[in-house]
Amino acid sequence: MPWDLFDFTNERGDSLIQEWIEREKLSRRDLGQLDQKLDMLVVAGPSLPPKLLAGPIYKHVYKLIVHGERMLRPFLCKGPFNMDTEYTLLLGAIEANGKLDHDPREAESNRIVLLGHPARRRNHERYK
Amino acid sequence: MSAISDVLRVEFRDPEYSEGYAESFLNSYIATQIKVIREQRRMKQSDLAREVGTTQTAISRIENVNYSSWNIKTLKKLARAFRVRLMVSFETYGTLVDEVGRFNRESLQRTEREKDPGLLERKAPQRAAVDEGVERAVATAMGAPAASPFSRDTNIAVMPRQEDQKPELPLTGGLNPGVLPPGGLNAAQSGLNS
Repeated sequence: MPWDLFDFTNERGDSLIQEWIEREKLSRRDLGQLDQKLDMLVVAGPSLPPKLLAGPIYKHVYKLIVHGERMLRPFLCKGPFNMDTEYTLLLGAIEANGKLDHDPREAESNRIVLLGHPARRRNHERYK
Repeated sequence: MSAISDVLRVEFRDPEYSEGYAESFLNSYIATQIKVIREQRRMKQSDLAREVGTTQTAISRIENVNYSSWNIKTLKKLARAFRVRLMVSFETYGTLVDEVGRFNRESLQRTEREKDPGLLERKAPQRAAVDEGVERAVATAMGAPAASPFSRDTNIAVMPRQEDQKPELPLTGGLNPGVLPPGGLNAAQSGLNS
């Protein structure tokens, strides 16, 4: 059964992940690798592909691991409304020298905002 | 899944994007299939490690969608342990679109050699036809209705078999060639002429 993938949005309704992809100027090769992992999550769910997600690394926050030219580590959570059928991308992150450029606590804060404001998310760009 | 397929058909025209995607998919595919077949065989990672001659840690490492340092030699050993064959093949990007859409546990499972349906013993076609003819003759003799032109199981029209289409024997002056006298046809004919 395919899973639904959503992006957390800012107050203007812009996807934080899309903004991150544009801001970081990801190469087309890295973007291909990132999209492959996201497609796998949507098509097969989290349990079939081994170690597709790492975590939870903080409370409800997982990181997707992408070994590209840069070590992409977008943060996401299950649900948070339907835990069995959906994921929400909360924040973009990159790992360098074993350190993340964003704190997973920021992602958890976004999740809490989303729980209070369910409209603060939209379908991920690829799965509209 | 048609939405993803449509998007991928466009995105795979970009060489860098398609290479990144395909290489990541290959790693994910191998890791997931090793895990799926191991579970299909009801093996623990330590069981597989013993069969392959490595450690449980090494199996855990290769059962990771982010692992990319596997090699053909290791994969051949795993194939032997799973009692399947290893196939390495160069493919077009277009075929990847469908592979992504049908990525699931069932599509990754493989039957071991001993239960492989492709290797099950089958009756030779000629022998099977003879057996079927015998069965039909017995059924008719026991009062079964005349055979339908459709086989009872498949609704496939049964074509007349070769042994049912024997050419009629040429008439030889009313002689039944099955009861020819000693000396054969010539002897019989000379008997008629005399």
